[in-house]
Amino acid sequence: MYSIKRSKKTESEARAETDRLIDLVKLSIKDICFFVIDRKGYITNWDDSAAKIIGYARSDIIGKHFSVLFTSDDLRKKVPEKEIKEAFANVLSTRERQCVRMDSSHFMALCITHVIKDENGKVTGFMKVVRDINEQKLTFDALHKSEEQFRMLVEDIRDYAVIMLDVRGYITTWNKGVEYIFGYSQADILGKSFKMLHPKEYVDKGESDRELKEALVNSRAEREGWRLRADGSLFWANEIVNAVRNKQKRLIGFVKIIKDTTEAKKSREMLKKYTRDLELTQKTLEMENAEDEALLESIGEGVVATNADAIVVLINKQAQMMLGVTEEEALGKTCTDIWTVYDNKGDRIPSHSCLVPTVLRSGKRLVNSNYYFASGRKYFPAAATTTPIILDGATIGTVTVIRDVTKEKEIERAKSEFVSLASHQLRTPLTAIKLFVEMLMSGSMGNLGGEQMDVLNNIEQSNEKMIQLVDNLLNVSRIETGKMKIKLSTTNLHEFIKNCIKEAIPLAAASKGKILFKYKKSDHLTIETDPNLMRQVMNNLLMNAIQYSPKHAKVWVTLDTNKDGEIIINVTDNGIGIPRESREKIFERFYRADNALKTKTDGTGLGLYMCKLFLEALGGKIWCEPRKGGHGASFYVALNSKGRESRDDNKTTAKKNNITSLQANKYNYAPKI
Amino acid sequence: MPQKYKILLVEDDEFVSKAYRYFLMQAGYKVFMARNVREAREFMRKESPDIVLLDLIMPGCNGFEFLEELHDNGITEKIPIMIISNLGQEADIAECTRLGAADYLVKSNFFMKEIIEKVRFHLERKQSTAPVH
Repeated sequence: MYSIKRSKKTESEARAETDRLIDLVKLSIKDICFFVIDRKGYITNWDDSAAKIIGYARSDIIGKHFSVLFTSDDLRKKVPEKEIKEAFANVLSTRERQCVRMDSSHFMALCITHVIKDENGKVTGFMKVVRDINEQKLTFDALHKSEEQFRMLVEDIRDYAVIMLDVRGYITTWNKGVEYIFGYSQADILGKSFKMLHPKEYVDKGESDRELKEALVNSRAEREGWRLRADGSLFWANEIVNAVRNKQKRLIGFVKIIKDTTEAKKSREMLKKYTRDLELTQKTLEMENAEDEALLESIGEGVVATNADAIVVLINKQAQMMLGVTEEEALGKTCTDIWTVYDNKGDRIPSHSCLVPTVLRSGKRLVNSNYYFASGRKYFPAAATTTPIILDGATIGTVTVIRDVTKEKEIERAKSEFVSLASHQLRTPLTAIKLFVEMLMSGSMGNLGGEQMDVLNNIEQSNEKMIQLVDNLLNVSRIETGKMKIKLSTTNLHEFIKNCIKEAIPLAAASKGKILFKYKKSDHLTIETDPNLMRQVMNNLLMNAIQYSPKHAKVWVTLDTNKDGEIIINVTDNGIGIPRESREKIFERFYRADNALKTKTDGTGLGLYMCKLFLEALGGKIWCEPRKGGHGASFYVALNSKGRESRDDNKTTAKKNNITSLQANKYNYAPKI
Repeated sequence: MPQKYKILLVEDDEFVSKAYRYFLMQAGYKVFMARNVREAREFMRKESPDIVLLDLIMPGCNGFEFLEELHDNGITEKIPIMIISNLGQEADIAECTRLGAADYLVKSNFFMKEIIEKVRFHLERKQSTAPVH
């Protein structure tokens, strides 16, 4: 109702209202102006707004061709004609172009050309609407320029592949880096899914989609991993995905920036590898060191290494413990300042005669036992070995291994004590038997008949054998433990053998045997030897010769020297002989040849073993051969004509022992034969 | 005259000492028996034997210690001490020699008549070297 009322306003009122509105619009719209041209382009109407924007006053421009408003460039391109043509053809001609002001300055204008027709539809002219978009354009240009610069920058970057994706992940733009890094050309990748840049398994695992999702949620995602090149090869890449949104925060796509970090990764890995290798090497070294150390520490023996000046450069824990020094105390000191060496008599060995200096002088390995190392705190029996370290023929140092033999000494002592006690305990009842048999046989307790005497004889003989066995066991034990003492004296071998034979004659006579002594040289051989030990050797050989022969045995004894200057004593019999396979073994402890066992069952199996031990102690040797030209055995004893070699052997003492002053001991005892 | 001589026999083994006593008495000596060092010591306090036959391994105090006592008291100078033992190692013999034993016999290796000879030998030697009172 109201509108009807209004429409009924007068026409003049309505026109006046419209004019006012137009003026208001004109006033408020400061960047738009209008003007009218005729069909040929001459300006017919020019309004104030046009004067304001374009600069020409109405009087200046009416009647002029509108081409004055064009740049020479546009004129050359015939843009004015085009605009008229377009408008004429009923096409809305809209053009952004430079518009030239009266003062020749330009401004960017949005120019719209409308055709003006009369009532008959005849074109009378055109209305031009010009909007000054200079400000807009300048801003846009600046933006465009910076965008362009940015684009060029992005394009030229080769180290980074920059890819724009649309919201679905299809590649819309790319830079040269893509070509450089991935090897794709533009045609290869535009419009394709970014997944083509990912290895298949990565895509299959859904990792590619996850990247975009993460970028969507966090607006950014970063990945490090293998990317696929056009040629199918892989490279290690660092990849950043950014979600791109417009002002309305709507997602319009993604930007991916991918950097080939293969080299970096390689370097990193190399570094890692080197580090690991280094660590490994270090670990190996440490382990080796630890092993060496463990070995050094675990061997239970003291190890001391010195340089060529006998300065201690290494000392293991054991040695520190043994010698009662700390590593700090020992290192850098002369070894002879750290310990003192005593011989087994307790006499101090002068420094220059100690192992290390001697080895440094001679360059030869030395072994010494029964030495005692002392350091003020510790004193112990030790066995030491010093080995030179030789480099290019020069002795550059020594390694000494010291073994604490306290335990061994204790064991040795315990063993010796046991043996002496055991033999004592065994001997005591045997002694009693011996004495009582003697008592009966002496007749002082009444006369005995022949048969009774025979029985007593048997008891006595058995008892004597038992005593002999105990003695032998004791002897063997003493030799083996190095307790055997050798008492040397000048011995006339000719006389000596004669005496031995004399002692054996009763036994030989009992079986109607004979002992023959042959010697070629008229001059008697004298020798430095232990007659007691030699007597036991001779007794053994002679008794064996008789006992392992039938009745009427013949035993030949010869004394001679061989071409090497050795004295050879030979005892040959015509007895049962020794089987070939037993010739070596008969000198072993408790060994008895088969035929010997059959002939004489009560042998101890110790006699020849003792002979061998005694002769070894005396520097001689013994061996056995078959008798030449008949059955029987032939035993050879070889002695150095100079007597026992004076060896620096601490196990046996070559000095004459004060025991010899005693009138009787077991070696003075002549065996009953 | 053998009867004058007093022999102290220090021996723990009953059978051995019985046999020794028999033989030594047969030989005309006066034999005193001690089964251990304690008894020997007691006897020595009261009487002075002409010779001592001393075993080494005995229960309680052993022969070595007793010999050392006698040695330290200068008795080994005056009275011959004959060791009768079945210990026969050099070290034992050496030790007894050092402690002034006149002789060292490994019992099992000697017949009684040999031992009596030894006893006689030492008694005679003692008499010939003994200071005249």
